[in-house]
Amino acid sequence: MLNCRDVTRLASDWIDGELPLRDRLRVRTHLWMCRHCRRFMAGFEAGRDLLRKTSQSPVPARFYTQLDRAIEQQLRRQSGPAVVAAETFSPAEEASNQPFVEGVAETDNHKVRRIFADIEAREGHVPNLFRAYAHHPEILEHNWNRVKTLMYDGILSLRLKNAIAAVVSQDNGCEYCVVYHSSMLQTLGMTPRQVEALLHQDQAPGFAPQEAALLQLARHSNRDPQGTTLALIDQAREAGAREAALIEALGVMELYSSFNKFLDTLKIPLDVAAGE
Amino acid sequence: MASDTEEQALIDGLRRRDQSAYQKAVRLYSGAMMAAARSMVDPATAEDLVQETWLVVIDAIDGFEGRSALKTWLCTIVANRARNRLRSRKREVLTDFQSPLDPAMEARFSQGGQWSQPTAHWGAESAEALMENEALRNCIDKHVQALPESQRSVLALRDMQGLKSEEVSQIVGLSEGNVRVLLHRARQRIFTMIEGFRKNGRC
Repeated sequence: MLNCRDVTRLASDWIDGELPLRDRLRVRTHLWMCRHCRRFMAGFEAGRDLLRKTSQSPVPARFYTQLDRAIEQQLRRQSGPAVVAAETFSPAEEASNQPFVEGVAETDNHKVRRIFADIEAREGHVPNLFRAYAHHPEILEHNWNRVKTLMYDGILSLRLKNAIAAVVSQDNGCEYCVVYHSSMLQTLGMTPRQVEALLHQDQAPGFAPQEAALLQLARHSNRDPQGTTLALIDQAREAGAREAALIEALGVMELYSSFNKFLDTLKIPLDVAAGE
Repeated sequence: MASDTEEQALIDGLRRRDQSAYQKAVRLYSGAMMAAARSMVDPATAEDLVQETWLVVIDAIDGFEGRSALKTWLCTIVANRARNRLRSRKREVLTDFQSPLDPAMEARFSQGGQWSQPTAHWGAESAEALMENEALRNCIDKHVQALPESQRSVLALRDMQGLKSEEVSQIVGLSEGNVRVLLHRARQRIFTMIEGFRKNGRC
C-alpha cells in the first residue's frame, strides 16, 4: 500500500500520465480512499496548468528588432560572392559536435589570466584555440608569443601573413582558420571575390610581386615540402625578398599548419566573435 | 506549437534564406532557446547566446536532418554553446538528487507517511481564473526566478515551453530520471507558493 508521502512523490508522473501501469493503479486506489491526497493532487495539477500558461520573462521587443537586423545583414553578406563556400564551414555539426577538449573559460592561474588579457587586448576576444592551449600555461604562452612575433611584429605585411594563414588552412582543410583569416583579410581591405580567388584559384590578387612569390612559396611548402625547388625560392629572392622574409613567410606557414592540426584533432569550434 | 506541415514550411523557408521565415522562427523559438541558455548562464549572456546562435543557424540549417523537432535542435545548439562558455565555472552541485520531495513538503508528513499538514480544499478555481490575478502571476514569476538554476530550466522547458521529458533531458544534458526529479521539486515549490498565496494573499 502506498502512503500519502509516496503518492506525493509520484505526483508529477501521475498528473503527466507518465506512471507505469502498476503504480498508476496503486495511486488511483489511494486517491479513491484519501481525501487529503485528492485535494493535494487537484491543487498540484492546477499549479502545473498555471505554469503552462505562464511564459518565462517574455523576450523584450528590442531583442527581436536587433536580431532581425543582424540576420538581414548576415543574409545579405551570404548572397554576395561567398567568402567561404558553405560546404567548407559547417557549423551544422555543432548540434552534436562537442570538442574533444573543452577550452578554459575562466581560471585563477595568473599566467593564463595575464596572457588572456593580452590576447583580448589585441584580438578583441580570446579565441577557442587559446582557451584549449590554456590547459597547459607554458604551451599557451609559447604559442601566443609565436603569434605575436610572427603576426604582430616582423617585416612582412599583416595582409600577406593572413593570406598565408588562410591558404595554408584552406589546403589543410581547417575550417576554423579559413573562416577566421578570410574575415581578417576582408577587414584588411580585400574584397570577397579576391579572397575567393586566393583560396580557390591559387591567385594572389592585389599583392606585389615579392609578396606573391612568398605566398606561393609558403603554400607550396605546406602542400609538398620535399618538392620545393630552388627556383621557387629564387623567384622570391629576385623579387627582392631577403632571407629574413623567406624565414618569416615559412614561419607563418609553420605556425598555422600546426594550429590547423591541433584544432582539427580536438574538433575545436570556431568562436562566433571570430567570424565577424 | 507549430504543426508538422507548418514546421516543414518554416524549415524550407530557412533553407531558402528567406528573411521573413527567419523573422517568424525567431519569434516562435527564441523564448525556448532563452530558457535553455538560462539553465547555465545569466540572463544577459543568455540573450547574447541566443542572438549568436541564430546567426550560426543561417549556415547550419542545411545540416538540420529533422531527427528532432526544430525547437529541440535550436535549444540543443544554444545549450551546447552555453556549456562551452561556462565549462570551468563552478556549476551548481546537484546533491539531494535521490529525494523527489522538497524539504518543505517532506515536513508536512508524519513519520508513518500520513499528512500532518494537509492541503486546504482547492475548490474549482480554474487555471484561467487564477491567471486573471496579476499579483499571483507576479508572485509565480518571482518564485520561478528564485528556483535553483537546474530546477528553473527544467521547469521552464517542460511546463512553460511544453517540451517532452526526453527533449528536455537532451537539452540540459541530464538523465530523464534526474529531469523528472528536478521538475517535481520545482513544481512542489511553486505549488507551496500558490497555496500560501491563496491562504493569506501574500507572496
